[in-house]
Amino acid sequence: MLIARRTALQGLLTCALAVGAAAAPSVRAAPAEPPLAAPTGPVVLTVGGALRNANRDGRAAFDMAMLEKLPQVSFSTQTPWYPQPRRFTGPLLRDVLAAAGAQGRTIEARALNDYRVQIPLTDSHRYDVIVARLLDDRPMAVRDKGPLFLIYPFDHAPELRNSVFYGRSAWQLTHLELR
Amino acid sequence: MPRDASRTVAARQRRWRIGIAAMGLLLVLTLAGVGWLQARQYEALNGTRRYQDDYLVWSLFQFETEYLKLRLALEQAAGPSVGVDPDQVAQRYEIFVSRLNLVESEHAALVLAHHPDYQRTVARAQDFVRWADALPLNGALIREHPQRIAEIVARLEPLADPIRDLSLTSTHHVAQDVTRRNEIIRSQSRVSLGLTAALSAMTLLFAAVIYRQFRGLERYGDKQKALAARLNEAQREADAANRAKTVFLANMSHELRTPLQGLLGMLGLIKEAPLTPAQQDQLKAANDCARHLLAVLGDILDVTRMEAGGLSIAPEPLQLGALVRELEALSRPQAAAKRLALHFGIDDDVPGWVLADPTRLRQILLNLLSNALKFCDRGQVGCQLRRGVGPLGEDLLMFEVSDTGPGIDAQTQARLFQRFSQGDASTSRRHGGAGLGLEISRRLARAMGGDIHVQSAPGQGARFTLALPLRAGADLPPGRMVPAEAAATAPSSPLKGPSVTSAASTTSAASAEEAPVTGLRVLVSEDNPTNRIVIEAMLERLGHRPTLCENGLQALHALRQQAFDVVLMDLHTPQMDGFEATRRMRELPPPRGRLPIIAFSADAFEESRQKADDAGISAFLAKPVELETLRACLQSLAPSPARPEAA
Repeated sequence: MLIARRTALQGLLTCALAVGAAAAPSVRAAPAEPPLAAPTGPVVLTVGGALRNANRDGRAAFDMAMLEKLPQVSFSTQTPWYPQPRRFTGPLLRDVLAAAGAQGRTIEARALNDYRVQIPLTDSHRYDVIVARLLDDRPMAVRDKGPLFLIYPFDHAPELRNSVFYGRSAWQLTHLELR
Repeated sequence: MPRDASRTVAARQRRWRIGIAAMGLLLVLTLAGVGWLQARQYEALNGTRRYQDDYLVWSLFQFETEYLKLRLALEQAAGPSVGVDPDQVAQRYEIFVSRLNLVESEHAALVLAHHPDYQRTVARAQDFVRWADALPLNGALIREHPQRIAEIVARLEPLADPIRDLSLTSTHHVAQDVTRRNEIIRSQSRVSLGLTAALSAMTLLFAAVIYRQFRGLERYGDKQKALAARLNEAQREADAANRAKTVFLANMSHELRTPLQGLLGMLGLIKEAPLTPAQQDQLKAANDCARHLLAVLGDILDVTRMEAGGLSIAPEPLQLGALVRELEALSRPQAAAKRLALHFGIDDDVPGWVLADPTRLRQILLNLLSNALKFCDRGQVGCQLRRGVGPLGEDLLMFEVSDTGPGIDAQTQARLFQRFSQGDASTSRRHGGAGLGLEISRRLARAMGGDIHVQSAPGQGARFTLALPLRAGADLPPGRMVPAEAAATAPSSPLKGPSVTSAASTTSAASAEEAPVTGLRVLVSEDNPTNRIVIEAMLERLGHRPTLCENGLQALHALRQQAFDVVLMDLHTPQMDGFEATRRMRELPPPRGRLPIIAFSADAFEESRQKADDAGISAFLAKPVELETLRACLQSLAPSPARPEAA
């Protein structure tokens, strides 16, 4: 009796998992189904390299409105660049990459000031890295390290509080090159 | 001298304790130091400031780079080339400003605060930014008023050297900082090395201490072993000495009993002679003295036996009614002589049969009763059997022997059960006795699992209570035991040697009324000439016909040649002892091999009796043998009237 029930339960679970597994890619692929809409405003971020959903010159270009449409995440965190914890808001890096249909294993982040840094793609899955577009709920000017700032949740994961991850947090972010 | 030794030992112990405490304290301090050092190092590594220090150099360098890039962009925009995007130039400005923000950050201000260059340069850069923002410096301005670019460049140019200096200064500063940090780390490492060395030294020291302690323990253990061996040796020697003492006492007892036998026998014979009343009194006094000597000898033998561990308790079914009657019969003559009333009784709830050692129980009760009769001059002596409950709820059998004598004060009670102690010096002289009786009684009682207590006060009489664990016997005694009435009339079965003596004396009165046995042919083996004469006289008095031999061998020869009815065998005779002679006689063909053989010996030890039983004797008489005892024994063992003729 018990065994029968357990078997039934296992069957159910397997089914659910199978359905979930089948559904997950479709859910993730859903926004990618229609090719990425073309930016209408000034482009603030371009994604190049290995990607599926290009919308301009083989690159995925985002204006601020497109980034705003993605699900937004906010958190406050202490950083080396400000004396006090600041609140950052923006889409998750993995959502931005998904929107671009990103592939590859490494991201090279580039900034306005010609700063470049290599970021493993796994970081975007392991941590809630955001492409911050608001600092304390206000847009960031270039002189305030804006308009986009790649931010790791330093306060949530102590292992992030070191030079490697501070270095990966590129400000004045303009381009992500996938490899 | 011993006090000095103990003082030095105490001092050494104190030194040890202080030393250990100091070492412990040192260890704690060292460990605390190590902990502190490690915490410091962890903190140094953990802080984000480290990153910022390194980062500051990069920031200032970038600041200079951005400054140069801005200048280049502005110069290009001012120049004749057309490909310059004014918005790009404006963005360069914005990036320069963002760099300035970083350079003027709180941390940078903190690190470089004491460099006057820093404050001045930052202030000048800020002035420029304020001025440029006021223009405002943007794409539109560059596009619409290109002539103003020259002015901007002119304003920008003087900043070049200070910014360059600041970048260099910070590099030097950080280099110094790194050197200082390295120095700190080096000094910490030195301290750490020192602490490690101290820890190692202390560990070695502890190891040495532990080694020393172990060696000490080992030595101590060896010493203990040696001591134990010495103690064992001493114990063996003491045991050997004790055995030697026992053997000596046994020999002495034999040596004393033999002449005593002669003395009592001779006194008994003189009693029959025509004497004046005065002579009769003297004779009685002499007889009393001899008996007293015999009693003392018996007590000494008992004590010797107890100390040799030869005291054995052999419980068997015992009828309490018969025991009480027997005790009453034994006490009556003495009580009658002193005109004392006797009260013997048994409570209703006391079982008829119990398991107990009859010989030892009788011995204790006789001792208590004889004490009571001895010390009580008027009134009554009683013995009551009751049932009691012990402290652990166990059933007890209580024998209460009470008297209306002078009583005993508390001080005397305290040492009443000690060896050689008596009521007091005066009574000792009056009543005699070696003072062993109560000690023996208590030892016997304890060997049986019970005890003896006394309740008394001067002038109030005394009550001695013997309490034994109650072990009820079967109501119907097992086969060999005959019912009480029969046992009282014919108790002296030849099978049970040790009990013959006392049983015979109790039943003498009853059996004497039966036809007295006379005319027995008695073969006597006795090496002591006096005793031979005494035995001969006794046997003749009883109407028997004795044949005397000097040892077992002669007796054996005599028995082979003639017919006899009974053999009286002294166990210790030269040439062939009584044991061997008995064994050899038992090997003779019947009827001679089945003759009753009565052993008699001054050696009253249990082992001797056992040995004699094993050899095949029929009964055992302890020396000195008395006329009445001998008569009863012969009476019980004599062949039926038809037998002498048949033999």
